[in-house]
Amino acid sequence: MALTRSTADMRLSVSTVPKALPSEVNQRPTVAASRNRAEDTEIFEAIQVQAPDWQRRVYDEYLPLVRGLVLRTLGPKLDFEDLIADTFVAFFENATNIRSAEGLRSYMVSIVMNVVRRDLRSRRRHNLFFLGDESRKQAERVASPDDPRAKAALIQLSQILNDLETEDRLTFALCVLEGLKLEEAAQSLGVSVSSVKRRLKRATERVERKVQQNPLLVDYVQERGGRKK
Amino acid sequence: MKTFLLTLLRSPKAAFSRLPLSRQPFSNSSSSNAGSSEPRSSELPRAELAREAAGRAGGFRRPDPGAVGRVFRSLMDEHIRGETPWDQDRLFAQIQRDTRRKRRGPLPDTSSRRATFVRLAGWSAAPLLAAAVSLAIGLRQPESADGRLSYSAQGYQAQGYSKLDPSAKADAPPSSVPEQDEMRRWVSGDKQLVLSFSDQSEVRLEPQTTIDVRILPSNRALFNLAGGKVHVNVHHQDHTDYRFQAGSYEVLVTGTAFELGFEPKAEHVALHMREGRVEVHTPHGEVRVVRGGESFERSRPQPIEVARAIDAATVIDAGGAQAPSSPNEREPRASRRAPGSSESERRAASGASSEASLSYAALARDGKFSEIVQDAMGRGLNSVLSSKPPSELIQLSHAARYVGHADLARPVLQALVRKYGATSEGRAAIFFLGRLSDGAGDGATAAQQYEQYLKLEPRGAYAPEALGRRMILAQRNNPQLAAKLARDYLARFPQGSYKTHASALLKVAGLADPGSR
Repeated sequence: MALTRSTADMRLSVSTVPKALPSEVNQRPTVAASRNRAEDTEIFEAIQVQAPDWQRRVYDEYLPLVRGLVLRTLGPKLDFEDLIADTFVAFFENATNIRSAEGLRSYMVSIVMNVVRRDLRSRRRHNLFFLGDESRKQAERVASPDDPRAKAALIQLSQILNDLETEDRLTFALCVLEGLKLEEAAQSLGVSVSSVKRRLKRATERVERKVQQNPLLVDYVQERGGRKK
Repeated sequence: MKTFLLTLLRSPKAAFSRLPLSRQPFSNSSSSNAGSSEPRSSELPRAELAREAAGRAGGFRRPDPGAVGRVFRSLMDEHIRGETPWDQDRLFAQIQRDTRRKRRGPLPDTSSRRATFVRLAGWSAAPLLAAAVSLAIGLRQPESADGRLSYSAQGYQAQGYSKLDPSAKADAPPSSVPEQDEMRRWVSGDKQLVLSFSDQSEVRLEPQTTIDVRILPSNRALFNLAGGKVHVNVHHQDHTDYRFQAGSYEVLVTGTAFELGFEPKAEHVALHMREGRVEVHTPHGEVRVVRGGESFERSRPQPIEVARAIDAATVIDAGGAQAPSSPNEREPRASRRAPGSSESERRAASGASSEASLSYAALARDGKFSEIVQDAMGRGLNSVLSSKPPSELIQLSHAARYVGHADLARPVLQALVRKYGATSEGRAAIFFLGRLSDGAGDGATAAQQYEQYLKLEPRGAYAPEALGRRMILAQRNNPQLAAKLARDYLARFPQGSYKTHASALLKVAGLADPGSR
């Protein structure tokens, strides 16, 4: 898989990650907050010395993060395993270029974003040439164990995400769905904080407007939104 | 005016926002207020009222801005938690293989003149390539005269029957080229039999294999493997759709080569992928993706099965069907079932109308909830309750709840509890009855039903939801019980959807979060 980010970009992106931890009870843990620094340091050292099991350790440590990011960014999807595999292949190919343990996690997020970008581009090409929305069909085929109404709401919200511009969508997914801080999102996407703010505002406005036009979603959001889960 | 024009040139949006008209979007409804100097604070309620009225009329309603993100987040979290388990070791092995294959040294230097030349050459070659492809498509022989998918058998010894006209007598053996929409049974006998399709796809039957084939007008090819083994090579195209049924498993082909075997007595399904990828839909509604080099084998489905049919006119035998002994054999499908069929199959077969009925599980998978409800109402509730298995009835109740037919959902759920109380569907029905009572404002009944479900299924699929909802109900009139339930919730489901709510309850009650210790 060809990476769209150069090694130089990567070195920039692995420099700093905010250290703030969630203090309020209703604040979601972020990528930075949930990370285990000691584990990252051990993995970083294993990568540096090319320990026999370093790839497996990276895989076990970061799989939940990568899977969550892929699914949150792209919505229900059947072939998410391919994207996870692409992410780890790219990471394994370039892991030795990482210069500090603090950068591991943010580098992984950056790769996920690149992989997701590529997937979104190919989806758009597919939809353009074949005039069909494959992502919607896939979302409907994904098994859902619980409430069918929740599944319908999820599909329709994912459809709204599909209508966003790629960069706006990634920003929305990182800041709103994954709960990253603006600085973290900016670092992962390789843009300035002000760009993230601008994109987030645009994406949020558009999502809210689309939700307002959908009676099912309005009811569902009003019903579930009050719980502040 | 000059200021307005200058602002218009710089920022049209800002210019128009300064116009008196755009300041009060709802001021047209009361002409007396337009242009008046009435304080803004007294106009706001009117605007809110107008917005409210628009909402009641089915127009635009504005949800709480933060709520959209919260709901989206919680839906995604629930989806991620509810994902079908998958083989992480297999994925890691695949990643290692790909890494070894792709390790080619540093990334190419894209800034060099050579790279620029290659890029430009690539872009200029694209139109030429597109023209060549168009020419190739234009020159290619059409798949069939009318563009429809068709097939023929080579060296067949098959016995055919027409699904569309089961009572007709076949005086002559059927031709090797079936008609559109005709379901035909192919029996390979002692030799291999090859079915060749107009899109270059091929299905090769091993000796002693029986398969039903039907091509729908929508170019969907449906296969029901009654027994034996087939080698499949599908040339995937967007306008064709190949689906194989083996027992209660369904294989959706997405362009690939594989072998599929089915042994009806043991209900043993064996799928071996040579290349490409297929989706296997299990009787429980799970979807498994099987890739090249992988195998999928199941011996006997679990007791709860989903009687699956692809569409109303094409109910495919759920395994165990024997090949007809003569070309004229046209006995009803239900009576041709093998004695080894499972209990749920017999139950499904015994329903007089089961052959013509829609599969609610299949419709629910496609999001066609209204069709499920319409089908049930058309057939009559008693008929549906007596003929459908519990897995279908629970789908019906979901569909009825979703389209707002609580009056249909409730009796279906009550029947499930009454008739199939010992099954997981029967127990889940108790939880969903609780949801209905909860939605209707009957908190006391809902609380009882949630508690009953939690007692019967403490580790059930809906246990976190039942406990969370019970906690919220208790919060209204019994804060002490709510705090106790919150503590219980956090201890049992520390990552559950209601964890924030439970933590907040404990905080209000001044109790410690069990997860924080």
